[in-house]
Amino acid sequence: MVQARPTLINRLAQRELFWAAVFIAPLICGLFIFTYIPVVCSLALSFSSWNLLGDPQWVGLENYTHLLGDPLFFKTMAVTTVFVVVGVTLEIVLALAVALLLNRAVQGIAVFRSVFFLPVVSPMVSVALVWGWIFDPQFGWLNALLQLIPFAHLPRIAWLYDEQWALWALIMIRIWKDLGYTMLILLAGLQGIPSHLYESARIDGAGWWRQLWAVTLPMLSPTLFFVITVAMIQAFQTFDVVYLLTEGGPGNSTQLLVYWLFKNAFQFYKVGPASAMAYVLFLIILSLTLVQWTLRKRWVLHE
Amino acid sequence: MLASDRLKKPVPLPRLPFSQVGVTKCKSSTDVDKRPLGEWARLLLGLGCVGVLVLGLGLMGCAPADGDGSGKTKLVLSFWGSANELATFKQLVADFEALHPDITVEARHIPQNYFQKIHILMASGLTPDVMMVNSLSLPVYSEHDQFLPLTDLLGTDAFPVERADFYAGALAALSRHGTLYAMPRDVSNLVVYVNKRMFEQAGVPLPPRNWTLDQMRQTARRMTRDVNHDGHPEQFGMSFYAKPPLFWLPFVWSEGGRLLADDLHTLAIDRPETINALQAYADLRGNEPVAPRRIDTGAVTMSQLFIQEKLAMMVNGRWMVPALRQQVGFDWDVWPFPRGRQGSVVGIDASGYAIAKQTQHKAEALKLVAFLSSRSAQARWTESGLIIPARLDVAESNLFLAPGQRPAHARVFLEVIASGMPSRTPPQWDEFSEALQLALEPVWEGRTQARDAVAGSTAELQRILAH
Repeated sequence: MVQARPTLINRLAQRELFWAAVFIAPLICGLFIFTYIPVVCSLALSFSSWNLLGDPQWVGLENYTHLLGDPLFFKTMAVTTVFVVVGVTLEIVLALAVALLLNRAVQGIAVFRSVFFLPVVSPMVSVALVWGWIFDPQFGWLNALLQLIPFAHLPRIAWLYDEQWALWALIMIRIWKDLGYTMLILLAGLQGIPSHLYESARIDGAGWWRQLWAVTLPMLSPTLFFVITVAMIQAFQTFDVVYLLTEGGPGNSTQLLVYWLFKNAFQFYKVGPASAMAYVLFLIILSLTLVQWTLRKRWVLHE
Repeated sequence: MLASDRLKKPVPLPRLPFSQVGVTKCKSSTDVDKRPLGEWARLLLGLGCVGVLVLGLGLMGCAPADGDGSGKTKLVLSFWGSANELATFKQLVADFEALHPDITVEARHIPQNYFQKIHILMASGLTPDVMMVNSLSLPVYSEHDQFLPLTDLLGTDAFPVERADFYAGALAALSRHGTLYAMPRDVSNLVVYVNKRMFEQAGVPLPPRNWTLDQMRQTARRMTRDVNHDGHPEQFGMSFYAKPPLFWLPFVWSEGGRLLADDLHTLAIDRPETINALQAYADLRGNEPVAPRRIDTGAVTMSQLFIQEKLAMMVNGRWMVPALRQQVGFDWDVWPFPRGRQGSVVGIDASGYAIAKQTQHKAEALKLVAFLSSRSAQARWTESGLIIPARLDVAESNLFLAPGQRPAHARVFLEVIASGMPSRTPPQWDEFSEALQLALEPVWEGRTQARDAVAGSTAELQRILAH
């Protein structure tokens, strides 16, 4: 400390923490204004009835009890569950397969990796537009392709307009779009596995499968854990593809939770029930993440 | 980093490949540990700074929104529409500003999700001074006292607009409980567009202009063709809309059916006339379809099918006229909607200009709306062919009837206004129509009978109306 008392400004200016605060202030402000304050407000709103125009009315737990008594909520939950479980499982398996294929020193490997990553950086709006055409029952080439299979005599499928198929079509689009990201993270994980482990496995006489099960997967488990958690959360939060292609239809068959929430909040202006849904979704994601967090001790190496 | 290194130290988080690179040092945390009290003081100071910044940002947001110091009054005008409509609005605003040099108008064009944005602006206390509204969305806002009631102002010096100049149906569509909340710009209703060339080529006589629903079905059957003989028609006689209800309600109303009783709180969808009419509409796609199913169209709209000459007759509104005038080479015309047991009844909707009840510039906003409702402003809208003007003098002029241009029977649009039913919707209309669409979807797909679908959905529909 200096002997002569410096001015307050001078003293402030010398504090590291002061400058740290100044520099992070814009970020903190943004977080508070756009995230934390709305999160707290929406908790309060979830106990109210409000259409954004009048004054909010306190209704206690009514929004939550209504939600639990609403068959549409359970339908939405069922659709969301299928979307998340099937989508994430397929995505991880496919991404792992692709990552294994691309984890080798072949000429032009960078090109292949870029090709798989391309959908990740493509804007969802254009992706949805193009897939909408691919799935078109009249001129879409997916149906045309299926018609080419000899002797199968497959019927024309209406895809996005058929209750049986619409959700599967959306799952396909999402996997296609997100595969590259998951693949890239897994690829990074694969490259972190030291080669001496494979070497000793080979000396012990392990074949390709044995190496996969005994070396690759255990060593990759922390990465897999991360990838599964993130993919699951993203799948739960899926909104754009539904908004762009099916609007929840046909017949609620693609009514994912977040889209339903959006509809309630911004089409029907039922802010209270929508906030309650948001908290239910939050609790679901939180508990699933906690379950994974607990289970990871069983299967994730080094923990 | 080798995997073996990771084994040694316990890490709270799964360490990810990319997170292993950047964590080099966290020096400051060890520095402050030496002086725990000073740390708190600094933290408080830091938070204080954040607070000041937040406050500053907040104050910047509250800068006076009014005027640019030139002493002019600034009005905000919001509207939806295409690029062409934006150009018309800009021209009208320029004309208005020339007439009123003391007022400037900021034209705010909201092309997408219009009412969503207006709703949020209202919630934030930023309601535009003047805004376009339509009859379907009006009740939500009039119910919450968002619009200036215009009934008592009509014909006063402050608002020299005469009720008698406008179609009564348009005024009724923009009124609630007898109070007028917006000055109508246009009327929208539905007619049947007919591709005359397809009739000629098929050798099918054109239907009589005073036709019935039965005659429409017969004509549609004759115009439906399985061109490639695969067992499914590729050319259809009549359009089919699963949503919005607006497009199929004429089939119900003309047969005497109703969705809601006149009080708008009681369901009438379970009346036998309604159920029969719904079933008859669904049967257009039935065993012998005369209207396209979803699998026949995919993302292609009815108007696209009509333009491609795969659809001989189409229920649609006036807004189709500019596109048809520009894009098609075949001869087409409009017919009134066919008659059912109760005549030919289509809905009369309207859109127009409402003034925010909270506006700071009521007098100027009234001047703007009066100007937009004037004969010359309406004429400008009518020139494009896009709208049916809400003013009788413009509608009955050659500007709208456009002799020599298609459609030859433009007067049909005006005759329909007299026989139509002014749109009346409850404030819960969006949610109600969504639930209704869901309930009726299986009927439109031919998987359920209208009777069963209605029986299965009345409780839910009634619940929506009740709150």
